[in-house]
Amino acid sequence: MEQIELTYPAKRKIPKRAHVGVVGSGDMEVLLEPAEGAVAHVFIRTSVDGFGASWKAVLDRFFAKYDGAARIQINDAGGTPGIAQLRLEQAVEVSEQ
Amino acid sequence: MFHSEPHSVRTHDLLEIDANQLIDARASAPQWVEECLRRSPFVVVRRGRVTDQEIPVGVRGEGRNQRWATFCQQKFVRSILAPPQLLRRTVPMSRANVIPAFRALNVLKDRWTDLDLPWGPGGSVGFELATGTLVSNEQSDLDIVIYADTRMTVDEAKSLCARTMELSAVADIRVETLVCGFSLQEFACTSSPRILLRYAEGLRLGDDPWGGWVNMMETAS
Repeated sequence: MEQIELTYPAKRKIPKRAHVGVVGSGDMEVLLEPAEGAVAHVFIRTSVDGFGASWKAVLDRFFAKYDGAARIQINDAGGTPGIAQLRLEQAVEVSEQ
Repeated sequence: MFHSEPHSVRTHDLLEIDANQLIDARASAPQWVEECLRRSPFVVVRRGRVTDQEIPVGVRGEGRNQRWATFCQQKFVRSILAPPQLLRRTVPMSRANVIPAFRALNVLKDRWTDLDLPWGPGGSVGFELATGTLVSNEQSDLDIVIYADTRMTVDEAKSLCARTMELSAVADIRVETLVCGFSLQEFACTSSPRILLRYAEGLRLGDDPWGGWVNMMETAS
């Protein structure tokens, strides 16, 4: 079990919270909530240790496009970077709908 | 020339294989893979494209992180065990006594008697029922596969999910259609218009698990 925290700049408030995904094996859930200020905080709790650089690469790529002030909690049960990318996309879709 | 039909296998099936042939063909395999296969010559079919020659498979080791992905030639396969066949196997009392996931399977069989789709155990519970190798432990989830070739409604999914509450182990349920796999829980409970669909070609978000693969460009690796 490993906990990773990342912070990114944000430019706008987001409309509402979103909860997507499941914590079953090989999958992950993402909780995205509106936050105060011009910053986004990401908290990752993963069952697989030693992939900090991969997580940072996925989140860097996500925040290259996303500018919402959010608190994002990711609970990972051995998912892949591909799943992380889709779960984040799905959370934004629900949050903005 | 003699031509044999390829075996019909699906994701999650367990294959009994000729271990010597697979080991000889895969010189790059870690040492533990060879030891595991010699003890218990079974591999699990991974999601991916099955060809006339090869099947994507995984080797399960004893450690939690011991998984090895490879390809197995069709001609190395001795027999195929699908999760619904494993459902008919009796859980040994000695295992049900110590492993919550086995107790959960027995309870779920009673709760899902009206489910007329084929279903059965995958993951460590399925592997253990197939091979007799003691790979499950007290923390093991109960992995379940349901085969829904035709459309399942959200209400049907909700009803199945509701009956997995308060089992002795967490039930992780994958629904397999003819084209992809998805989480029963996500399908039943999500607020999202699209869910995570797992195709042989890759992952995508979609709203129709029974529809075809639409846009390869949306594939994520």
